[in-house]
Amino acid sequence: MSQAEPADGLSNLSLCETADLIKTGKVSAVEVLEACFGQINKLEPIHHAFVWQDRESALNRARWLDSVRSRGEIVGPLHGVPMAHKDMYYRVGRVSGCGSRIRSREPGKTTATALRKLDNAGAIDVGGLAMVEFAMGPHGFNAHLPRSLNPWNHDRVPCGSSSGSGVAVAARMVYGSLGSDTGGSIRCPAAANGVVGCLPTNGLVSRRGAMPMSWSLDCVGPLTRTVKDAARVLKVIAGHDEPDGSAAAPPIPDYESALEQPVAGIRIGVPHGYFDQDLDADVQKAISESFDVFQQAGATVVPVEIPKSVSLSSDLHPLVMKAEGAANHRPWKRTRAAEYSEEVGKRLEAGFFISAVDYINALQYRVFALEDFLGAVFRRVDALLTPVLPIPTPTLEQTAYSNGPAYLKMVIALTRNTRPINFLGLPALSVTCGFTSDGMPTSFQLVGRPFSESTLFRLGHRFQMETKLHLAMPRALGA
Amino acid sequence: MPITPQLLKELNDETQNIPIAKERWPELAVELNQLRTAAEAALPVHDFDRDPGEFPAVLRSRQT
Repeated sequence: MSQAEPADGLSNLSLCETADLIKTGKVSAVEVLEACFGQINKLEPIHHAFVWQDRESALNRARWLDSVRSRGEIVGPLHGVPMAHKDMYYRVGRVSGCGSRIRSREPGKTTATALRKLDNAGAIDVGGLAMVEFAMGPHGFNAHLPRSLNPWNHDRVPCGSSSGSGVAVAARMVYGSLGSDTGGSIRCPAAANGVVGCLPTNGLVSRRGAMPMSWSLDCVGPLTRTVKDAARVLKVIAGHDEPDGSAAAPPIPDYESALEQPVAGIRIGVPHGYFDQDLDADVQKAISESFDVFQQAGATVVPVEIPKSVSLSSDLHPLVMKAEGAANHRPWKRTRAAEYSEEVGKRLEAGFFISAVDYINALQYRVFALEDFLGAVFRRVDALLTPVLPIPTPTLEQTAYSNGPAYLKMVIALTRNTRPINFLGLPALSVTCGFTSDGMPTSFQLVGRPFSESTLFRLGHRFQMETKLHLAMPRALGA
Repeated sequence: MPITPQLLKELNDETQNIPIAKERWPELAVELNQLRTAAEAALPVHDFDRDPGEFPAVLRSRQT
């Protein structure tokens, strides 16, 4: 692997550090953006995180934000911060290809609520990031796009489906990114690329103007380098959205101000059952050490039995996802089937033969499973800690579609721990907690009660402050 | 009775009309039978009065 120069000083700052420097006038939005361009120039030719960039618009916006700042005004908490997003968030008049050929020429008719909120907070949209075709796949490969490479090791997958988001944030090309998570598509690439990924409670963030993959499971959330950054971005994008009927309307707390509160007294669950099965020894070690960190910080670690409904939730997740996905894609599958990649085209097929009765029974079971999980787990603990990926980040070869049954086994293993959480609609925060013996980062996810993101951020932030693991640099950045 | 490749092909011809390669039917039958098994496994706790639309309400009711 070629070794790039270390990240530029500005690029290596966190999103919050950068926003605070711009706010206080110590650095301009244009300077920050140019630092990002420098990092993109160095690393994008190898890593292929971007599908498109619009540097001219980004630069114009940075200049405008600097002129606003020169008058002593700040647009919002992300004033001047360069971000880029999974290429599935629509903007009026702009093409968001969704990693597909089918959508590669269709301009957006609306602007995604999450993008509009980021705009209103002062963020700069640099470009669209690579993703799995129509967000259907956990390993990150898209036959229509150049392969996105993991900056920790080019022979390892970046995971997906928010592959470009994980790569661009880890490689310090941008400070944060929107991903989407239907079965692990934020948390898995966050884990594989050594960054933070936040799956909000189902409905906390509006999905309006985001490409639908599975309407009842899809969630919009951020990937960032620090927990504090994720807290800031989530505060901006969360909240009720009248046109999105599924968006919840809870009061959105100031996540950042709660970060420094002590974790003493918070009960963290050690899962007994499901999440402790088929774990790689290195992953197991990193998870065990994470519990030690939290205990030393004053949290209480409590064993908790995982209800059997989690295993069935994991099995029913693909039934719901495939039925909903097939419904979305039916007209195209009939008339434009050749435009899908072989892998994703096949992945859609089963959904067309799931009965409406089985689908509705699965949705009914979802309510039971949620109540069962809340009763069994969250009566005893405030957060559950599990690995994100139960295995080390796979190699490119291990996830090759031509690998047949081994490929299928790998794909199922990648989302084993993440997909039941989507089925349950609960929030989860993915944080790097160590390294496997091959030098790849591995992560835990903290799963919480509905709308308990504040607690998860508090725990994740404390973990990062204690371990400093988030400061480790990917090999491609000259680490 | 398990779902067979032939049944899926006939269903497709009659209702869905999706172009599906011949070699895919046996694989699809395996996948659909796995999903059917999962659906059947959920039935012992099936609740006649359960409205699937309660899901977001349950989430909101447990808000911290």
